[in-house]
Amino acid sequence: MKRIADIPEEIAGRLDLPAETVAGVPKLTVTGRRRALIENHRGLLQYSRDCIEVDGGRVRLRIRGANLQLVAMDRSDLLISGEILSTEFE
Amino acid sequence: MERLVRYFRGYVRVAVRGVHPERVLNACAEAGIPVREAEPAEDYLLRITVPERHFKRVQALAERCQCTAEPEKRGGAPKLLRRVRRHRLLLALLALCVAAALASSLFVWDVQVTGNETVSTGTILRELEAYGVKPGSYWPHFSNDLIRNHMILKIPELQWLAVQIRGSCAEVVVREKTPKPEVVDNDEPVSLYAGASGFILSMEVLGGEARVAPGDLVTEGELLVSGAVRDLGGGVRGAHALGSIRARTLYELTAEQPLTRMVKTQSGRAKNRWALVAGKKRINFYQSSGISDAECDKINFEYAFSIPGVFTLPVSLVHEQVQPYETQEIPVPPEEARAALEQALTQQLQARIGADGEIVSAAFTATERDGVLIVTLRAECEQEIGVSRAISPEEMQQLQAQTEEGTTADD
Repeated sequence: MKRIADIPEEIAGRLDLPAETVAGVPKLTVTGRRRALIENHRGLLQYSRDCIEVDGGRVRLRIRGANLQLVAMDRSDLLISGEILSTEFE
Repeated sequence: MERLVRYFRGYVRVAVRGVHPERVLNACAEAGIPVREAEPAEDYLLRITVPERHFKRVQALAERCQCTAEPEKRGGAPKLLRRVRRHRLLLALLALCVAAALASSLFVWDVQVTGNETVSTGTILRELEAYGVKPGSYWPHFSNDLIRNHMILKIPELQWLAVQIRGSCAEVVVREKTPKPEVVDNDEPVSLYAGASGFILSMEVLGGEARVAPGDLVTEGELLVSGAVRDLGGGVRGAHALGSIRARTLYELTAEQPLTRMVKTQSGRAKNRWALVAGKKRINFYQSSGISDAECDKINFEYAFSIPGVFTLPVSLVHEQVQPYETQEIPVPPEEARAALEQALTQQLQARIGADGEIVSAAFTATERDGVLIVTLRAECEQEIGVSRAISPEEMQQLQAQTEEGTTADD
């Protein structure tokens, strides 16, 4: 059963609109295995060398890897570098 | 690029300590403070880089998140400026140097001449100085056309001239006129004489009357082809004798060289002296410029205050090194001396027989007398021996008389 909070994402999907701007969901871009850019984040939940957990509003993103580093962070974007092993959504 | 911007804005490396240091990151992001190079160092320690102007706010945010934010390192242009501001004298000197370098680049401090072969550099420099192109002159006032016109009028050997300014150096490029080739006047009465004694091998006479024939032995200066020619009317007229006369010649050349030579050996310590040359003035940093009685080598090193191609200041530091030496006589190996003499004699012979001459055979003999090596070269050569010489009126009369007597080679 769908939640009310999921409706904007559903509408964006049906209307073929970018969900990250219309519905405000996080957007994850992974370049190779060494760089990940998270847009529309809501903050960090956990930060260590092998795991970075990011609050994405309705979803929680977990990036696991080795020597992870937060290269840059501002209000909406977050750039991670290091050896990325997996990404998980919760 | 971002690092460059960060450098110019100034940055602080901050150590954030607390139970949840990542909350400081969130707070910074929320407050619009860009955070770079966040690095978890320990469990409760996080290092971040923030712009210097936001540091106070970061400290306040960290306090709100029950953490501490301590600066570890400050960097960037603002810090550098603060440090330099303390040394005002140094800053003023730097500014003065920059201003002097900029101002000096508008003046010529060195004039170099290139491209001249027959006209001496000194002559060109003197004329340029007379016109105003000299060390210390303001080069934006130079006009290439006017300088060229002046110089070509003053030095007729010049064909073209250009002044190029490179930094504070004026490079004067000149081109000299090509000399006119010698024009052979075919109407001028000329005879061919023997340039060397020898046995004539072949003759090709294109003008004048031959006075010798192949197989004849001739001595140096003997008339070979006469410029006095008998015409059909029985008279004698002057003609331009022309031809090729090849002969077998013999040479005996001698050269000698002592079997010892003098070499220098350093004796005692070298004296170092320094001087400053500003324009045409020299300031010596030593009192007595006299050289001691001993024989000395004087070596000058000049260090100009310049950046080649950018600017040159009219100041240079001169280092004089005076090294006393003693001369010592050492023997020269006879083989070495003989080889040198043989080479010199061969070169001398080649110069005598000319470019079209050929050495048929050559033999060297060497003798040693009183410590001197004497080398003799005996060579048989084949060469062109005809030398043309204008006929003087007296000589013409004499030749006419000889012609009227009918002493031609054909007879």
